[in-house]
Amino acid sequence: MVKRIIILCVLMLSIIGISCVNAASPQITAIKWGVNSGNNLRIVLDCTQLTSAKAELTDGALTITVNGKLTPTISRRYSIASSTVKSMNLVAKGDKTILILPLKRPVKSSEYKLFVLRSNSGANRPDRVVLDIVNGGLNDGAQKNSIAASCIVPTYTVTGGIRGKHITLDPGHGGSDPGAHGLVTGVQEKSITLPVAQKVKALLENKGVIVSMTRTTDVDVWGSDATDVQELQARVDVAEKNKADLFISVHCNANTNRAIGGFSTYYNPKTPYDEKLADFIQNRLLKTGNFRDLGTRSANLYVNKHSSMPGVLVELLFLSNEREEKLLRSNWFQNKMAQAIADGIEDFYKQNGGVS
Amino acid sequence: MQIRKKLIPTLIVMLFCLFLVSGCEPTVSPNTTNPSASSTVKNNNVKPTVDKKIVLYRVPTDGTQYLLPETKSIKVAENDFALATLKALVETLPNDKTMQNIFPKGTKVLGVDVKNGIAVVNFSKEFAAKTEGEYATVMMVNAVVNTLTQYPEIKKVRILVEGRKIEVLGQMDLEEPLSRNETFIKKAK
Repeated sequence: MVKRIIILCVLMLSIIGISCVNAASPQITAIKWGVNSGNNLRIVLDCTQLTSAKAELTDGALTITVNGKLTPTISRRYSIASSTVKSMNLVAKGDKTILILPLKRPVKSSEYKLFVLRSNSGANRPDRVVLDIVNGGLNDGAQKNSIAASCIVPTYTVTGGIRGKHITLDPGHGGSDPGAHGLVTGVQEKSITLPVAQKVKALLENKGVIVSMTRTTDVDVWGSDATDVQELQARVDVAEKNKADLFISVHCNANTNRAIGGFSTYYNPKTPYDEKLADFIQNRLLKTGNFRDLGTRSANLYVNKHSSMPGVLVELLFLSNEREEKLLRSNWFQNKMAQAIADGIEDFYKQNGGVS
Repeated sequence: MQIRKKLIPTLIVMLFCLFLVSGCEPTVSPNTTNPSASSTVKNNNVKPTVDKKIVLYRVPTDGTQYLLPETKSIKVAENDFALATLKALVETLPNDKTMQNIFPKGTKVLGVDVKNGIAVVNFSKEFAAKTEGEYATVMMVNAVVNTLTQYPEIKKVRILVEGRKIEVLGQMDLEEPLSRNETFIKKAK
């Protein structure tokens, strides 16, 4: 018995990893369920690839929405002999499949758990979505307050080198929002972030990257009457729609103290990669000349927080600093900064076991 | 021996459960730490005062991006320490020339309400004044958050302006309460 538990646990631990791959649309190829001696129910959906699912407790039923189509051979109705769930009905809805589980008794949110398991070739198991309903709860206090559980599988990829990656570049500000301005010439931030981002685009494309831009001209991304949130979310949406592997926002800093200068790179540590990416880009930026290192900082910036893929927001020098304003306006230094950003991104992929 | 045999797999199972929980949960679960340590801070002058040593995270004048701790002793009523500390940060100047107050001119602390581990801070409208560049915004917000989270009963800080939620300040997202940010504090070597 003890041996069995150990083997089971080691197996389970080994198949949990960071899952970052996605290609064609996922399909559900088989559905299994079982009840153990403790009367706990487990439902397993075999899938062609890792996918996401969410669970919701509604009136007398638990509903699971899986991002994946049913293969035609799968039965749509199951009667289930468990203490909590009576039956299971499957409904196809577009690319999604909805599992409806009518409940025999009210189930608390702490009593069920939805998660994904990565394929295990050793055990001949495919990628799976798993629902556990455990009588009396999962001993997880933190979960009791949540009414919905979800399991999101990231769609970005960090391995395999830079070639073929999708990267979204976001030239900060634009249109009705000029951003900061240079104190000597009055140059606007939006008219520096755009050419720098376009230069980064060209350099990345040379490295085999598929680049999408939140804007390519002097415009608001959402529209001139947008709220701050709408405008920033519109930029995140570009990255999400393009299933970007990275999101890079380009800005210039400014301050009332004209002596302040230097580079800083902000990130939000929402994935294991944001901070690393920030470090690689910041290191390259510092090599462009003799500038102050303001460091990489975890900051709760909207675009970094709300995008699902690793990303950073770079602050390229200070427009309020006379020397830096001059450099920011010059074509050759814009090229230098763009090269640093592109190289930093390449460094990031090299460090992640990729070959480029 | 028998006990040890059972203990190891039990530990592994527990570890595994932890893994599942941390891997797949949405991060929206409300903060439930220290429900007992709730204190409402309002203008109430009849409480006995105590001397309290506080730390204010100030913005440096040298243009680096680390907050500098200024220690101060203040006289404060037992339950008013959060409000008094924040007022000291926002409405006074630092004693040291290496530090500065970068809150927009006229910014006032209208109130601090600590409940369930979250300090809800209410600033006057000046706090949200448009400033150019991200430096001042991130330093100012993190100064507030790191100063208040020195108290164990404050885990997170929600910022309101004139009693209203602000979703975005500059590029910063202020929709949800913010946690202490150690990346703005220089590590002692």
